[in-house]
Amino acid sequence: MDNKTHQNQPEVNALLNSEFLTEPTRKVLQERFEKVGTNRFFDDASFSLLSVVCDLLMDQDSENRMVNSAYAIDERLLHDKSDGWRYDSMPPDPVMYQLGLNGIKETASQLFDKKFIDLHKEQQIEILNAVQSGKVKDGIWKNLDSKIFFEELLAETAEIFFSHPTVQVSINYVGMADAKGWTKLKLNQSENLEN
Amino acid sequence: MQEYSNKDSVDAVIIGTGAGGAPIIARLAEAGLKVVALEAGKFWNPKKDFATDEREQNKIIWNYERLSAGDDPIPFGKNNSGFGVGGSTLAYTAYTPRPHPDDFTINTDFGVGKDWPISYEDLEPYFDELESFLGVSGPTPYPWGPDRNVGYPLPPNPINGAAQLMEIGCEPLNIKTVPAANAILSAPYHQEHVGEREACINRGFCQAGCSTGAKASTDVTFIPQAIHFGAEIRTECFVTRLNTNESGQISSVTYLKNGQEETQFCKTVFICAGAIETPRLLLMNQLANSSGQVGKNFMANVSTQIWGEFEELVHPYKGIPASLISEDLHRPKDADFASGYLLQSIGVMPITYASQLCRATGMWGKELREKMAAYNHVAGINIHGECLPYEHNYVELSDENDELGLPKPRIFFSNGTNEKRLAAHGEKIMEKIWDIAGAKNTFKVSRNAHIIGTCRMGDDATEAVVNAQGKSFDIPNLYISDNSLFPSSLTVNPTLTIMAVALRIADKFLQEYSTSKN
Repeated sequence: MDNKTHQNQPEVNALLNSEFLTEPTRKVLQERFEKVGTNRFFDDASFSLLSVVCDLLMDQDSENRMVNSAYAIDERLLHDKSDGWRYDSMPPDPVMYQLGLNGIKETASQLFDKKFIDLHKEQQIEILNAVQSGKVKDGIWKNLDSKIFFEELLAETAEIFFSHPTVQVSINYVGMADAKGWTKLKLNQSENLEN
Repeated sequence: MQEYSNKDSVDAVIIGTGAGGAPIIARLAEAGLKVVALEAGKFWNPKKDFATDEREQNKIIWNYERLSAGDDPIPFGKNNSGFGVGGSTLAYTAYTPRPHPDDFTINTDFGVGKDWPISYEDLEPYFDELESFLGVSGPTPYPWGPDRNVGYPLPPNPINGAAQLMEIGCEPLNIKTVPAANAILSAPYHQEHVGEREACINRGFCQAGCSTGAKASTDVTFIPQAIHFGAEIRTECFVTRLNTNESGQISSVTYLKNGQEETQFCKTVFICAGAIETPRLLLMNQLANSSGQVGKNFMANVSTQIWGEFEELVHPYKGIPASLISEDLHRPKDADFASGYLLQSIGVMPITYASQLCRATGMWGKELREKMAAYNHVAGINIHGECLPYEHNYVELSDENDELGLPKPRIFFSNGTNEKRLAAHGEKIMEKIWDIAGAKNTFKVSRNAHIIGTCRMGDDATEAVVNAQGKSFDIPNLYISDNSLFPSSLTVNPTLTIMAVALRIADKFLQEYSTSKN
């Protein structure tokens, strides 16, 4: 994860250090800040590309990024860890990711004759839309279903992104602070912690 | 805890400690048999090991890769397959409606699917026993199904935001709702041989592991009972082989522990590994399949969800996720399909919600971030309905191996016309309910939940893998007890029925056992 300080950091720290988290929960969430990633599965070029794609998917500015999901994806693929299933029509995840990223590189060069990471944001979004809708058909995409690749990439990126306490607090989720349980279950009722 | 030697031929080896295995382990141990349970996962200590964090809790999910094929590939792992002592009960929401008597006679009633070789009446005493033992919280009297011999031992749990919204939407439509029956304690509860269990504190985290013991997963109910009576629970043992003797009976079970093979001798084996791993183990060993039915008829209940955003603050992470039920649609009068479904409200944790949102709608970028910013105003409703058995839905072994060197299972699943019609019927009603309740920006998640079938029970050895007692037609000392032996999917969530069938299998086995001893 990136170690940049985000504007809601004091609020997040106060919550994580509060008596409302159980020790196992606190430990897990604090580790998520401490983990500084390096890319070990992807080469530098592919990793940069994946990072830019993750930023676009999560609508982040790379200058003020809350979470770079690419690190956790890299780590999972390095250890070839599964989440219990995959589409039978797709190759194993490490292969799918390499092929999919190469497909994005190819499409960028075909459409704009440039590297994806050097394109304008609007052009990058255009390419990702084409991948998501299955409009790309040439080269690598002949053998890799671009719609399913996009779905898998998006779901994993989002699961990692929204698992970060900084992001969770930004959507007013405080469910991790449940050490004492919840008593106010009625609609529009809030506990002291909740907004 | 009692420990047995590998060479000691124990009375029974039970493979798996979830809803199908744990009741048998406890029952046989209580009867004085030497019992060893082999569990692939760990024995978690929920208070120390479980964090309120969905990502961390992926460790309680069966993460060995399965290959999902067909028109409607099933996402395995989260939401249907647990890992550790307790099996999938670690991750169930403990929704425990009883099946209806006519759930067991779908072929007689509609001419499709398969009847069960046992009836509601056969299981009724076990439902009574289970609700009392697990400490089910629910409304008494219960408005649907036959009259009960005994009421629920505890009053219902408080209902969460999604449930309150569903109540608002159902009332003008004359759809009756009540707080659901959940195997989650609404008050402290004393269980013999287990001890005192605390009341639920509404963490809402049932599907990612209960850290308080209020949810009746088997690791805090049947397993402590089994250990009290002398059963050995041997963890991190992945069973790979069932070894037969010259008469074709199982003589021992081989498993991998810390990368090494070990073999436990035994007189009887119960496979309770769930609707994918049970047929996978039999197919790998080419056993008990003279019927050709091992792996066939895979089913997954129709479980379409509709999510909406409401003006009210919902805080969808609080309270038992599925806390309201209606069974008015069990046999809808205007149905153009066989059987029916139930309706339930659903709360949701943020990662599960984000992931489903991405997959179902394809939203990303700014649109996704804005949608997720409304998370605290989100509530869901879903159906849980019949899925018929089909020849085109099955489990097979692929030629791709997993990290243990075992063939990954490939599972074909496509909804048929009956499932599609049932889903369409449910969607219409759910949309009406949510519209009345004030939902905005709704979206649908088409899905099938619970994994069922694949080693069906029956009276005819040419059509079924096991008989009504769970015993293999081919191998007399081999039993199956889990969701794989369901001949039909039922309209209700399966766990209570899995446990009831397990207790019946245990009792029938013990009757035979004591007869053969005398």
